[in-house]
Amino acid sequence: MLQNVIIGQYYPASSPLHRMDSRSKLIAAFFYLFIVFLANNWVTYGVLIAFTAVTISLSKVPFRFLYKGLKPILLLVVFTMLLHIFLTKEGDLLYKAGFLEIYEGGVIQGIFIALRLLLLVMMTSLLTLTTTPIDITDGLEHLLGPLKKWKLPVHEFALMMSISLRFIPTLLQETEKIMKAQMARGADFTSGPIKERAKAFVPLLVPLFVSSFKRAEELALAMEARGYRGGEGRTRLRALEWHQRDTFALILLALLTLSLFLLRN
Amino acid sequence: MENIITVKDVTFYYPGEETPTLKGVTLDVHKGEWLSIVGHNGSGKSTLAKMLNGLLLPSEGAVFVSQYTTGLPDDIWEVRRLVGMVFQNPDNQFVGTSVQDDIAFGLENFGVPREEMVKRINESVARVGMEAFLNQEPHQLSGGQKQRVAIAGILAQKPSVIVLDEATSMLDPIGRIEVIDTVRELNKKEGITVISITHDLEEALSADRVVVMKMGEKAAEGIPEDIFQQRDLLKSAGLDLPFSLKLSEALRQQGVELDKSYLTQEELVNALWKLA
Amino acid sequence: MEGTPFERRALHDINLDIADGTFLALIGHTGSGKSTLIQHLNGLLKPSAGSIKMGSTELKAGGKKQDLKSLRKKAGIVFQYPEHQLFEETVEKDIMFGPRNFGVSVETARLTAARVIEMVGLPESVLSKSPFDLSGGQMRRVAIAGVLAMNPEVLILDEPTAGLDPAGRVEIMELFNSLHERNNLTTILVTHSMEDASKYADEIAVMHKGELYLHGKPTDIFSEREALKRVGLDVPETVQFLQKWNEKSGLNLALTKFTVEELAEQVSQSLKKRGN
Repeated sequence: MLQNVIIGQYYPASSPLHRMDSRSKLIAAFFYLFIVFLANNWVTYGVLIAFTAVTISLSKVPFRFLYKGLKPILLLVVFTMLLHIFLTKEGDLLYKAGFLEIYEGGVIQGIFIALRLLLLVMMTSLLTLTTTPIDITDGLEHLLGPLKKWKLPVHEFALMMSISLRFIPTLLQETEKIMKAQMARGADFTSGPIKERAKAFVPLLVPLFVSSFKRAEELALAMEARGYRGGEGRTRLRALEWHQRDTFALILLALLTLSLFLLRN
Repeated sequence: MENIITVKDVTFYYPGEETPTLKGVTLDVHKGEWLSIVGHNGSGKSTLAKMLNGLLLPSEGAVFVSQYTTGLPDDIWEVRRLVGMVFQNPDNQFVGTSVQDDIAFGLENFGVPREEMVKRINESVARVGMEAFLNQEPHQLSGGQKQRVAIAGILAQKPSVIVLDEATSMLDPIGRIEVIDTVRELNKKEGITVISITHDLEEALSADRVVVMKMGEKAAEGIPEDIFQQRDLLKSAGLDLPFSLKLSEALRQQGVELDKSYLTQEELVNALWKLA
Repeated sequence: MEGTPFERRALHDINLDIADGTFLALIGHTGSGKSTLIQHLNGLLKPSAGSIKMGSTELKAGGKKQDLKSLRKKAGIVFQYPEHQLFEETVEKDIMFGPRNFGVSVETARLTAARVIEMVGLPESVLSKSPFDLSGGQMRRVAIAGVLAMNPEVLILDEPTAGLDPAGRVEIMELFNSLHERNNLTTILVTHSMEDASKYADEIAVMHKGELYLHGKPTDIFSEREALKRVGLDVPETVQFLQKWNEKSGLNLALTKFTVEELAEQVSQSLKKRGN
């Protein structure tokens, strides 16, 4: 259980996608968010689906892992699809029962919206499935680097992220320990009405907060002792390396965009 | 003998406190020695430790490290590079997401170029025997291993002094031995000065010199053989007595005419055998 | 975890009977399974195979929803660093947490709090304070009081002295010893310290790699020095010394209480005999 939370969604494998620089993956995923909205007919959706399918197969991530990311939003997808099916009144009338009317345009619209959502979520999941959280943090820090000019605390943000990642397993272990200690004193975290259960977590949360503050204080001291004085003049061990495949991936994405422009209505 | 650290008439008040935590402490730390600082909780020993690398600055007096002064803003970073600290809680000083990231943290702060960094990480991780763990994450390591990583992080900065601030008190016996043996080797083979704030008797016994802190003052200073003869002093410093010392006393109470209290079992057995 | 690659057998085929009123010391290195074992004793973990019986309550492998609560009330666990479990606004409320969970009325729980705070050697005035305003040692006592307040029939102590200074360690161990002696409270002490085990326990169980390695009276356990050394443990210093003395003098002295005083007596008598 612990293992899952620590590495986030990351699925360790050696694929061209895993080997890509986190910066190019971030740029690509971000770009993809926009070009999905370019598709507006069967051909363009077809092109997008093909592109996404090829990317997924390249990543060597088994589909069930992607499905895990999709599960929480499936309900939303079905709901928006139905909403469009019932509310759009365009094209031929396909079915009528009482006040319920379903038009051809509505069905098509519903399918498109659902596809759009599924594609979006799959591609962003693919980013977190093929990139470790710490690499994503590094990539973000580099990409947002220029914002430092406008006094945005990019370095501090990235450090905060990496320290959070570092302490997640520690805090989980601690949570388990405190939970056991309170259970040994008769606390019950698993049964009872919702309101009672929320209250039952106070004996868990207060000690967690107290210890986290103590940790933060000690960590700050340890960092200072090791010469930490902000991002100024700092060098980095973790180096990002931009390869040909990264440039290639972005060119592919540009071609995809171009074709979407050409093929859309 | 050459001094690496000089603490001169240091008095220290925590902000808002009226009684000083340290009162006129003067102390020389010799280059290459193992100095143990002992004392009960609240004796000021941990505050003293934080004075040594400028984490705290004296209210009165001064602390000199090599040719630097902790109170001077221009010197402070060099002081922190020269004097590395290992703290009590192994988890709360592990900054990186993996062993090599953590060792790199200090080097990154000091702006060491990447190639040099990689070289120094590989070298220092081998000196603490953790080379097989470079890519491990902290939660996969034992307490003793985390402390060894902390030591590697310090070594990478090419320090002169390592301060252990109760660095073994949260470890199990195996972890404790692992950390102490690592530091001992660095002390003996590489001449790194070690200052150890500790409750651990065995550790204090094997030090070159011992300083006893009491109520913010230096109560005694000397070689273990002398310090551990002063039973009341040790008791008041919240320290347990070494086993052989306790036994020597108990034997005397039984009417055995020992000439003095012995520090090791071997010495005591031999002394008793002479009486037989 | 069963059936996954993360599955690891932490305990294997443990058979252990603990008689009412026993003081049992459970010894072993980190990862030997001793913490896992004690968590089975009050149902925090359930056995994959086998059963645990405490008085009339039984916890079986694969059984349905069992009466965990009554098991938990019977076996009070003082975890490592128990002060980390404190959360209430006042010491009194925190101590009352356990009894209240087991359905004790507010009035009775309040009386219990007053009773147990005295048992752990703190003044009643502490009850109205915030636990977070207390010193580390006091916080630990309050946390212990919180476990005692449930009136457990068995007290399980998981390294209760971890992180304390020598004086604090002795105080806490004496506290548990007097609870055991005065109330005939069955006590299980998980420890790394053979010294503590020899001083307080009637029985010692040594765990190694998830199995019960040795179990018996201290005299039996300490006669197996080689077996102990094989798993990285050793006999207490009193026994070590006596062995050295026996070798030197050719005598065959033995200890029963393993205290320094008893050892001194034995050695001095052997000296006197030789003198005659």
